[in-house]
Amino acid sequence: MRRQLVPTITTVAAVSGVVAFTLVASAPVGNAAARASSAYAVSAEGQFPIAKTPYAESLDGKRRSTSALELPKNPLLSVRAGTATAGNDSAAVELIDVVVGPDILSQVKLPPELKKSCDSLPAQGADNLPIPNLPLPELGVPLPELSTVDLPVKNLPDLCKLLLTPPSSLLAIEAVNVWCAGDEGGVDIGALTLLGQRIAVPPTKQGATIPAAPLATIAINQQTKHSDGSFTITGLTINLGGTQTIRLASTTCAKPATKKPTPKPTQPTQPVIPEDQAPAAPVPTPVKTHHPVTG
Amino acid sequence: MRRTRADERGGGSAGALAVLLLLGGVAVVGVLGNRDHVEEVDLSTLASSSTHTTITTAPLDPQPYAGTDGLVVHPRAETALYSAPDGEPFAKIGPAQFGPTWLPVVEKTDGWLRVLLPSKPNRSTGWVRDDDLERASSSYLIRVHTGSRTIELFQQGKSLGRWKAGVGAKKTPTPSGRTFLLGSIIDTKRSASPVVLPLGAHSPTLDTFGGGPGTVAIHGWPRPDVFGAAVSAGCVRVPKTALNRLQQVPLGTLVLIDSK
Repeated sequence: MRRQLVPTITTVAAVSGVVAFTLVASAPVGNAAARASSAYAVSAEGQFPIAKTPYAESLDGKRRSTSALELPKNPLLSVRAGTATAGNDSAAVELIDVVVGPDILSQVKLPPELKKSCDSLPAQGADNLPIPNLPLPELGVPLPELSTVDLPVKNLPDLCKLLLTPPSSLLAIEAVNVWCAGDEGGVDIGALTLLGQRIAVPPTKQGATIPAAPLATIAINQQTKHSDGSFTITGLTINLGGTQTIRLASTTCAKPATKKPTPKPTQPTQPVIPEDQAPAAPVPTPVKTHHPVTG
Repeated sequence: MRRTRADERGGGSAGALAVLLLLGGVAVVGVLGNRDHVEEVDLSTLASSSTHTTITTAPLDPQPYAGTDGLVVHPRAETALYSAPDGEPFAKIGPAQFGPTWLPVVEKTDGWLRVLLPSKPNRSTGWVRDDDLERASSSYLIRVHTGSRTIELFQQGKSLGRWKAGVGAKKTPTPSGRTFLLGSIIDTKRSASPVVLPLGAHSPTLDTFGGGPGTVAIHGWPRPDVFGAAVSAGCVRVPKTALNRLQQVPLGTLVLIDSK
């Protein structure tokens, strides 16, 4: 009986061992991610909610990209173009020309006493005149009750100029680019203007804020590591009046979709050629040809 | 009785051996099958990455604003592009674009290099096997700032110059992110500014331009009023002194475009 068991055990071991080996050998390299990498250009919560637009996600790690040239109809926000791309533990958003609160000041009627002060401004020497504290009417976007002293101006001539020739928006941002890869990412923000005035964007380090109170609070480069290992980075989070939130350019990178993780590279920011490196790349020889480029 | 048992035992061992051989064969076929799948790629079935093609399956550049160590590679022959190390081939890259193909390496792992690609969409990458590639180093880096409308040239981290540049207008912006010098051409049909340095990027808003695929390039401009302005259809217009320097920069050199 014992002797009969020997070949049986050998056979079972052979079958299970080799079958397991065969399964491992034939297993596909890829492995679906548990959570999707995703990206969106714009979303809003509050009085004027806007769904994530455009929105891309990748569950299987394959690159998916989607673009939008306009947002759902709303009085709060417009963009020229937004592209969201999600891939294998990576995601990116490119957003061009964001306008928050279009034409916000164009319907404001100057209070009579302010109009009188503005009309009687001398051509010179008025720079020291203080700003009168006058309430501003409802601006049509969710902002707290504002008065003239809340506007980003230094003196009375500036205030008159702002209200008589109002800028085209509350807030305008030329471009927002956000990307993530694994648990790292970054933000690139173009020119930002608040009521027509250029505001310096601080170095886009994590969690910085742009001072624009009380009109808005603007947080840049918000980064969150989630408990499941995924990582979210949001370019700009704009809060208006404490009740309306606008998120611009947000990416989430989820666990690698492939079984074999890609090792992290070393990425110096400037070329520094090690001694054992390849030879210097050649100076190119111009080729005579015709190729239409974007001009 | 004894003999019978011996026979039984012998018969059992023979059976086990047969199963081992059979399944061993299956395993070998399984392993070889996988190896064949990776190593023998039918290049004729793959689309070729170039400034004229769109390959939507290309993986996204994971670090679109990062620098590199300057390594550039030239495929000596048509080479398969993979979605990941040991992943699936999704396209191929040929040895010539305008001139020889030189691609910047943005990531490395054992036996594999990740390169930027010249095809649409922007920020496309692919992995190539680290064999049969000519390697070289570019010590240069080109930075384009669309916000301040300037272009900078660095060598070994040291600035060689900073010039005002014409960049894309609002409706036709110069795409931000990481790309590279794809070619150096003398365009016979551009009499005013024939020197053109096509990049690996394309206009994000124009599918085609002038009959071409919307390739973004660095080139000169006959009038100086465009330098420092957002006026172009996506290209970067630079003064002659800048263009002369940039013509000396090797193909494959990284071009970092940001909104600063």
